[in-house]
Amino acid sequence: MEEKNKKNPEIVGFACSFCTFKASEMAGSLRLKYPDGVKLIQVPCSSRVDPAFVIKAIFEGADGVFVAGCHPGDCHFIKGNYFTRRKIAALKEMFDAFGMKDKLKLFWVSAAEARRFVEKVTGMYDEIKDKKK
Amino acid sequence: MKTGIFICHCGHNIKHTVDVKRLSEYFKKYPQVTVSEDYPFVCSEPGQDMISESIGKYGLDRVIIASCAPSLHGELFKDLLRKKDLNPFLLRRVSIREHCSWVGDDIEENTEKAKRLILSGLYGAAHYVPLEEKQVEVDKSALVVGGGVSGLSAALFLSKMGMQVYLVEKEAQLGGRVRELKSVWPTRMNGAKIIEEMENELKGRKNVEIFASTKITNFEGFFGNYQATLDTPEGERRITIGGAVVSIGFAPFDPVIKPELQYGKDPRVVTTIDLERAGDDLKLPDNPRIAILHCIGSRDEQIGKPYCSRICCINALRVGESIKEKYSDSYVESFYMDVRAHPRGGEEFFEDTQEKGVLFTRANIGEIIPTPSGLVLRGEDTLLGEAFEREFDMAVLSVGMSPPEDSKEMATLFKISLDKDKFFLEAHIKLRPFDTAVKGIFIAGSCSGPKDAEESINHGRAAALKLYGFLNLGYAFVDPFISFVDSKRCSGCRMCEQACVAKAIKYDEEKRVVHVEEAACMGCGLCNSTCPSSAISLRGYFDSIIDDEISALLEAI
Repeated sequence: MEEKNKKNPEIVGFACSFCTFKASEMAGSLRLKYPDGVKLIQVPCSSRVDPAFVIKAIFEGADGVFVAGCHPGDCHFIKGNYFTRRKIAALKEMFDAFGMKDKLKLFWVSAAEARRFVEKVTGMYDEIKDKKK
Repeated sequence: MKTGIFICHCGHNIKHTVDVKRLSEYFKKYPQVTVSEDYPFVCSEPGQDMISESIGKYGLDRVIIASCAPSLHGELFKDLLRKKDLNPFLLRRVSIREHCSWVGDDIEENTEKAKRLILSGLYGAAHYVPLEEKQVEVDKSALVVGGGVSGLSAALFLSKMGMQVYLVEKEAQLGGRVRELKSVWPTRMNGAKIIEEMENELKGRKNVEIFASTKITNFEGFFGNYQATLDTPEGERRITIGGAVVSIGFAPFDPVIKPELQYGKDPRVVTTIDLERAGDDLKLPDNPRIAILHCIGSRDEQIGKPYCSRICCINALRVGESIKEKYSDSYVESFYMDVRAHPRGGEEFFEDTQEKGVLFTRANIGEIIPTPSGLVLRGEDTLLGEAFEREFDMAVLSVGMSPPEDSKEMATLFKISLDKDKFFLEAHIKLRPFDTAVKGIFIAGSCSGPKDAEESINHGRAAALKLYGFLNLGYAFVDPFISFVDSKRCSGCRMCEQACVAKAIKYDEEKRVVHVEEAACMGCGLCNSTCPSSAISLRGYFDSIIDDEISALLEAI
């Protein structure tokens, strides 16, 4: 198990149920391929993501964490994603201080952007995989 | 705790890349799992019976269904639990089709991923509590936005079913684009006549109120009880409605974006719409040479319109036919990419037009060069692979459909998602083609992608029927995913009050704690992640649920 973990990164994603989670469903329906290491947790809005969740995921062995929500201005809850943006920006500074800047990402993916979702997660996965070598 | 895990094969969809048998065996070892089964189609009647039986037989208090995405069959499985007197919010859906079996090809890796996903469902669901669905009354009235064919047919249907209907049109006249058409294919009826027929029927009805030259300035509320503010010529007006059908139509593509076609610079280059308006005023010689260009503003990646507009091939055929009928000595050549005469009778119409003498050349037109004697078309014949130059008296551009100019504005107002081409996005292309992500808001007509008049009328009626089905019940269930405060933990710092977008959190000066106004809470969970003392929680998404889901996903539990 240890050996395997070293090769393939584990990425946990927090996906807003109105956009990114829908996009990931669509990506599945379109049979788009992305690495199995990417696993999603559905949240009602990206603003539900407590920075503590991100830290917990890193503590429990995730190689990367992403938070994904609707494009700025498109939030179902009017401006939840603006709060997410600020929270994650602050958290990124902290990650940077520990030299793990690449382990946290914030994406904006709308419900229609299945391809963008796949591009983003695959990009993040490959980046982390390259670093692990 | 007694948990039942049901893993669906979905025929071969899940089974062929996930080892379902191994999974169902694996979960049997967990003490909290009472039943762990796999079944070819859990959503089928025998599959449902199997779940109901297990609930009754073992007295399950958590049900985990690992199958397709949670947005599919959501209500079906919830009803199953309701029938068995189990709270529907003790159900957990795990998506192992859209998020696992369709995503990867390796059976080992997929099985491992599916295992982790189900495990996170199992540990997350352990923290679930029964939630109470609130029943609210709904207003039996509807707002129809846009008075084109789809809007008119939706309004007419709703009114006939006895609903109070408010029809809002931004122009002074109802009818939209169809009113301008001289003959609507295939019936060859005058567009204005079709509209007038519908309009007169609508105007004669008592339960319909029509607002022309009106804009919607605000739209808020929730299903069954929306409030809209209308800016009418007579002043502002506020209405309460149960739901809405948004049918704001389309905008014809503006060929000015393609300067090489000389549209707007040379009067001999016209669009199909200009031709419709001009009618008999065309100043053409007795034996005119006419070029018809297909796919202008459609199937063109360069200008960001990769989609097919579906109506313009028929329009181009109609132009060719009518010119041939009027000027029998004319030379009419149609430059096409592919002729997609998709509606019923379209293919026959294509053949008829060819028989009438319209020439069809498969070509890409690079540019139109105006000369004093005519228009020179320079292009490439894509069948012969040869470049050509030909002179014509007039060029007709068969323009496609673009999203309406105010699509972005309306999408924000009604919280509708837009697809990549900026048309409205339906909740599911096959299973919920008229719904949006917001309950009670439906889309109809060409605002959700190019459609012809017949399709738009059907679409409008279908959207109206779905809305009627929702409103006619007279009541609705509200999602119970709202926040609540543990007042013992609340320190009264009021951080959540500042964060709450819905203004649902109120501070009690006397007790120095906050409380949540349940009717106003939207359920985003922002307050939950903001609270420094973990005093406020969002039902259905507790910290403990998400914490355990993270641990289970990473197998650290």
